[in-house]
Amino acid sequence: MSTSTSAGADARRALLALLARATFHPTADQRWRALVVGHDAWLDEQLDPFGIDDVDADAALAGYSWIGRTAGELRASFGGGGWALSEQSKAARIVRAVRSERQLLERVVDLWNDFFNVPFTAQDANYLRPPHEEEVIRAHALGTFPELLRAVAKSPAMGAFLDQDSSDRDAPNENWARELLELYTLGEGSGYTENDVREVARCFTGWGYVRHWEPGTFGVFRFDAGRHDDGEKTVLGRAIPAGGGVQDGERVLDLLLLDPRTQARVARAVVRWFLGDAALESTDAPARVEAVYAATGGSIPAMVRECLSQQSLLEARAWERPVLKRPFHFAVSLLRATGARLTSPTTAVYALEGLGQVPFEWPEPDGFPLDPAAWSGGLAPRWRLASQLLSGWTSWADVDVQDLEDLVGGAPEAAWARALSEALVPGGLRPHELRAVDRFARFGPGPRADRLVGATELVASSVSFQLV
Amino acid sequence: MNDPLRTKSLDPSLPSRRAVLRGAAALSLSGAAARAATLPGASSPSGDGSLVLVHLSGGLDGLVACTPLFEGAALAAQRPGLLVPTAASAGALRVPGGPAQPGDFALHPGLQPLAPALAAGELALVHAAGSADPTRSHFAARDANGAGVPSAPGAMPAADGWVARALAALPERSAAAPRALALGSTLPRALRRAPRALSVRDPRGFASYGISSTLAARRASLASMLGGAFGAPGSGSGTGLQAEVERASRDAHAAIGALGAVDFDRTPAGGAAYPGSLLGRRMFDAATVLRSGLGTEVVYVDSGADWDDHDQMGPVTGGLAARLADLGQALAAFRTDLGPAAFARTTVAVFGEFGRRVDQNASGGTDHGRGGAVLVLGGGVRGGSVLGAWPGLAPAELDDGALAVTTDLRSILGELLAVSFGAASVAPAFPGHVPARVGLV
Repeated sequence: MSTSTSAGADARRALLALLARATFHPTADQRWRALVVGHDAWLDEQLDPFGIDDVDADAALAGYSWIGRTAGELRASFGGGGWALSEQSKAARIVRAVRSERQLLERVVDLWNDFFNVPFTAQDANYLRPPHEEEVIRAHALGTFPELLRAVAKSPAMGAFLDQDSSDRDAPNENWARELLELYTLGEGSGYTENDVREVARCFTGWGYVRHWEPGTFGVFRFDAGRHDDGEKTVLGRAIPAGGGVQDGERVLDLLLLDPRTQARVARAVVRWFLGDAALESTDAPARVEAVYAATGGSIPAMVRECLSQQSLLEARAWERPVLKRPFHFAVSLLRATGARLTSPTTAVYALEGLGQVPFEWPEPDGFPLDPAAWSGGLAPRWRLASQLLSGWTSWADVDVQDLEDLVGGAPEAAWARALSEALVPGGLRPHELRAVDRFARFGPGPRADRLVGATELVASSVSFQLV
Repeated sequence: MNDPLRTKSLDPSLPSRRAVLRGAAALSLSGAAARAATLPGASSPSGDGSLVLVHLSGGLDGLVACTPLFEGAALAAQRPGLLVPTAASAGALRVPGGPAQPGDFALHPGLQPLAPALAAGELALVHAAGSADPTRSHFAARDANGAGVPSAPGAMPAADGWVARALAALPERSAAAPRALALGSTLPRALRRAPRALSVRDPRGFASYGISSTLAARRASLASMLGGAFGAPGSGSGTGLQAEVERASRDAHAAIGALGAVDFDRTPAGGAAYPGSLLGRRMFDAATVLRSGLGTEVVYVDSGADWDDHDQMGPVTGGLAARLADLGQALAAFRTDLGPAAFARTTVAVFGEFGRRVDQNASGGTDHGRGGAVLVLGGGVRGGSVLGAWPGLAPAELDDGALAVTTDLRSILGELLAVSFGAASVAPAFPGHVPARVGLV
């Protein structure tokens, strides 16, 4: 009896962990839905995002008319070097994370945006990156890894970022080649050599895009045979025959995609993203996800399904081994948990800057760090943000006392701590945190409204709210 | 390709390839080796100093920043588009080579504001310095440099950084101030898991938040919840990460009071003119923290710029030249602002994760290399020359197209730790590393 009770409790914990990890914060509706349909069915619904009605997010994105347009069209309609476009692009990222019902898609989009990080720093990036987000990252986020990598390799935004557009046969630029081997496929220290880096760089000479001062359609991939090194190359011990043209780079991608080191690395990235470092060492999830990669040709939904399965979450004991929310995740989860309305997403970008994480602003190819120790030294701005948001001091989001009263169901103060814990922390606050919130709710200073704001701020500042 | 032993053999404490190649160098190297018997820090002052680490992420080209005047022909042959004027009339500072260098060097004209520091013997450079880890990956190199332990195949890297281990070996000076402060949004690898380590993007307004009438009560409640002043110790039980985040929260809570009392809007002292860049602001903030007497031991400043000059390197005009000018101005202002008394207790190290290749690429830039230039400033530094041993620029002397490494970055940082905090912090910071004497202190 006690065994089945404990199994039931674990299944419920696994479901809460699924909700917490597959979203930026599960709404009450999402929790109810998951309880009704069960672990696997809810996960499958999220893995088929276009089966989920998303009218709210669509309405919120209606003002971003540039979404879906080409780099050439964007360049024609946004002057000033496209700076406003880059700001709107970050704002749209926030809107989607906060408002979309397709929460797992949004979490996976962030995974690939970090894995293939492309900031707004390169020439033409303000025009190239928005289409990259739509047509490369979002379009393939729940496709297959090989399709995603091939799309990234030909993405003008990536080419501009890693100098592929200025590489040529006389002196190849190694930037893209090195990151391709190190970050996107085999992994650092996996056995390739400096010579492999140089040979891969030779293979990709001539890959680039039409720059704005060149004839042709701006911002589309172009292979320039005149800049390509057409000699024979040797990559990972395999000969790439002379005269291959654009196929040299494609052959390199094929070689890398078939390499078990790539499959292992991608599997570990997916596991680390959803289950954290602990699961890499202490569970079989990496091996299982890798096997799924091999069996499905790198299907991303299949890998994510394996990773967030009840078995994986139970094995990882995800509720005992939390991961630290990064600042973007923190802010989005607070907005979702309190039902705040985003009134000026472009201004919200600046609030995120204060927290230390603005979408697409990590300057380097490796993406925002995942090591919790990179972020745990910067918690105080989160408390400030929570305070300002809940006190109604922000110009970019609106949450009023009635929203908070809704969270506690208009109940007396003695019921607040438990209600706020339930609403903001899927696994609940820990006992000493609950007691501190309860004390403030009942004995804190000021009228009921001030204490409700303060008690909510305290929950948002708790260690438990920083973890997921 | 990249043989770690090769780096080892070039460390001046050991018989080097160059020593075998050239008798004169061998003599001066054996002199350096003899001096290595004196442990760094043996002459260190009271150990109440501060260390400022300025990181040039991306990898500074040491040949542009500090050009060897005796390698003109090799440079012209291998990087004809990347030559820097080296005449005093162009603003280049001439710096004598140290005992194991074959000749003199010239600093990039952008570093001209450092002339007073050089003249005062408070600026030293180490050339052909770098990581013992042969990687040319930004991330692996930063990881190895920050860990203070070269990565070994199959081994788990140390989770804590070298600064973390150094500070853990020292008594804390204050119960509230951050012991290690990173001016930026994240903690760099070297500071991770350090006691009382804080990352602060902008220290202005760090202490202010929310409705003032309830501020004191909210802060007290937060402290109580975090198991601080008003709570029960031991409430910080839980998983490793829960405990870690709880500890970090308590440190941040304590820092609200400490940093909140510092005036970050002061006027720089001595007429110091910081540049308007992010680096300028961060160096000003670093000086403010050090002048405040809070007790912060290590300040980490990421330059905030990208030094990964794969393309359009300049280097006479353009991005790299502008960044070097910004760096020179910011460092000079920092020295002026601190004034002689505080600068005497302060040591600044400026470095990137690696140097760059000698030859230029098709984009008018350089790809990732190995050895590079490290700048060291401070009142306690034995400055005035370019230390280290020169590995040479002939093709056979290069490490796979790059300037080889002859001085392990850890030997440099170890001497700076010793002069700032005493010798006890050095061995924990760099376990397994046998320091070779560089001669910075």
